[in-house]
Amino acid sequence: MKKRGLCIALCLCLLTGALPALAQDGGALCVLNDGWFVNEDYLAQYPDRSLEMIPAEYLDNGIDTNLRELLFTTDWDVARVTTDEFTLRELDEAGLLMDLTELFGEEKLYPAVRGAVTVDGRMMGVPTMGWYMGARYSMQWLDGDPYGLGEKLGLTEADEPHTCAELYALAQKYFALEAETRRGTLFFDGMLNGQAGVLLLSSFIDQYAGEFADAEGNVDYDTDAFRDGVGQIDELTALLNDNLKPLYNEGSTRLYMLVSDAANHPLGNETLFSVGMERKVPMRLEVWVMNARTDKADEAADYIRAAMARTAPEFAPALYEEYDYTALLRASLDRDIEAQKEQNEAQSVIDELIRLRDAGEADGHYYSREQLERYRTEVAPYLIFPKCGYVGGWTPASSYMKGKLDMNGLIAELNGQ
Amino acid sequence: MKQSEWRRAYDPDPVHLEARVRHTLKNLDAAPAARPRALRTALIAALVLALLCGIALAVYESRTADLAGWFGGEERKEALLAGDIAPSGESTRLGDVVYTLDDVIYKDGTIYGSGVIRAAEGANIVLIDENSGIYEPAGYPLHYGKDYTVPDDAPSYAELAKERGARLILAKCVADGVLDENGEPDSVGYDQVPQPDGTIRFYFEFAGREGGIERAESYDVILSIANWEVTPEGEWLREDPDNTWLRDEWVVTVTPDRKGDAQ
Repeated sequence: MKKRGLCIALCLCLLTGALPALAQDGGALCVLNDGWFVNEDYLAQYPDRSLEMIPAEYLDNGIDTNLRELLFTTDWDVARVTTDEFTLRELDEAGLLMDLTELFGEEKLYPAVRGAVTVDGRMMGVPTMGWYMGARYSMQWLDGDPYGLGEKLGLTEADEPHTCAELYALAQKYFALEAETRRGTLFFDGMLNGQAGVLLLSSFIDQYAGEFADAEGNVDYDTDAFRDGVGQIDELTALLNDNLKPLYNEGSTRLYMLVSDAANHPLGNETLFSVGMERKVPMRLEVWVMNARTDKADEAADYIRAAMARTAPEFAPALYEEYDYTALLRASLDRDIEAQKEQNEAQSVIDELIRLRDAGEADGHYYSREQLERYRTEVAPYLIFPKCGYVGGWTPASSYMKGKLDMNGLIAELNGQ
Repeated sequence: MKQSEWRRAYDPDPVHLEARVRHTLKNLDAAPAARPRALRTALIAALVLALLCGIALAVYESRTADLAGWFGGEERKEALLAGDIAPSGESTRLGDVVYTLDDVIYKDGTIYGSGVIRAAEGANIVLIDENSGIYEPAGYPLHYGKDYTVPDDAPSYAELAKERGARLILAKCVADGVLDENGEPDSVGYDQVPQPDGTIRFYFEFAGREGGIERAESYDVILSIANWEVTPEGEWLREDPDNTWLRDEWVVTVTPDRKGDAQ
């Protein structure tokens, strides 16, 4: 009797202890630092599954997050990290990561991209997005010369600059033209609000940091390469400041810009700059990883596949050496079509998108094959993935341009970050 | 479009219009005439006056509608003129800048409004809006695709400020909604348009969350006003130790005196 009573009591205790665990969503996949729309896509595909989201929060500086702390202290199954903040080697050596070679090793990534997610021959993460980190500009007389600037100003593809020195030479060529020839044009974005020098210098700092960061992400700015680059920007800024009066065409308030700032999204028509003698294109990768201790490997892999599908139309050609262009074009236009329907766009617009999709034509609604070929030959081979994180170059650049810092002061400020 | 034509694109102030009418009448009356011609002259003057007043009434229905039409075409203007129009004219001062709300329109759950930002009497400042660069020609709306002619010697904001020994002040006015239970705006559209006389016209429109703002007898419109100094190099002085940033919330009660066919 006593024994039976003890057994019953023990069972009750065990059951009571287990209740909280059962009451919790014990079957939920824990996702750390989710990407946009991925959870919606995943649950649409697997409506019987459940998720527990662990968001990364911004710290007081509004730039850094608590992701590092969460990676090391929470029970996540799948997480999203970026290569400018973490190396997969670091996370692997901490015992956090599952080897994904068997699940995703067949993906046809560009060699440089594969290298960024591989540790000692093992694929430890799946890249889904990439963003430029360095200096990039749009040269508005290239890519078909849509505004006739090349013809008007006598510029060709040979005039495309890739360094600060070449940009300065281009500016000299432009300002040597007769004023009437330049009428209706402007050399550089930011000239008219007085920020051209700061823009140029902060971009240069980003590029320099990306090219010269060591494996730990440390950057030494006290080098000849840095000083020479800043000197070239000083000369260029002085030239721009001597030519601040734009001339407008009669009856028009439009100015066509020769050189403008470009977004950090890859696969556009941007011109990428370099600092050193070798061409290098710093990029930040978004990478999905699985926890080495997860007991939901299959679900985690499905989640990663959902993330890949979500970003593929926009980013796959930047990451993959081989991809199905037609399928990506269709997926991109399908999303466009759905969005236009939701916004009650005119049926003629929707019909045209459907026609383009079915014909496999990009026509400005998706990357052209020429754009992607240019990326393949001129960008992909030069990709690097530095761990230098966010470079706060704007404030020191601004102080330098206002004369509050000299060259040594600028270098000291940057080295102290 | 020549500068003179561009000036006429904006409807005249009633004050100026009245002065024009008086001038016209004075000139008409000053002409020597025989008795029969004096009567005819008086009749003509009366007719002209009636016509001009009619025009004045027609053109000064709403500056907000006028500005909306400038942005979006005559159809847009006509659509807003069919709403509930609430004239204001209330002003407030923040630092060396005066903000005046001209009028507000309620139409189909959305509030529209506009006004003018000007330098306070005696203040030696040059106003610049946030869309303009300090080296762009002062007082020209350059970013709206309009066909104005900008003379080569048009001074920039920076040049004008230097010429006058004035401070360059960036001023803005943005609506934050109305003070009622569903007055928090879903999103706010706004713009600030530089004027040749050195003022800035501000414009806003917003709908309430969840279906729009309810039609009412009056509205308490919340406006966020601000201004700060800009250096000749284009730097905004909004941080210590050189912080010149002034901000305030200004609530203006407006009552439509003309009801349209608004829902």
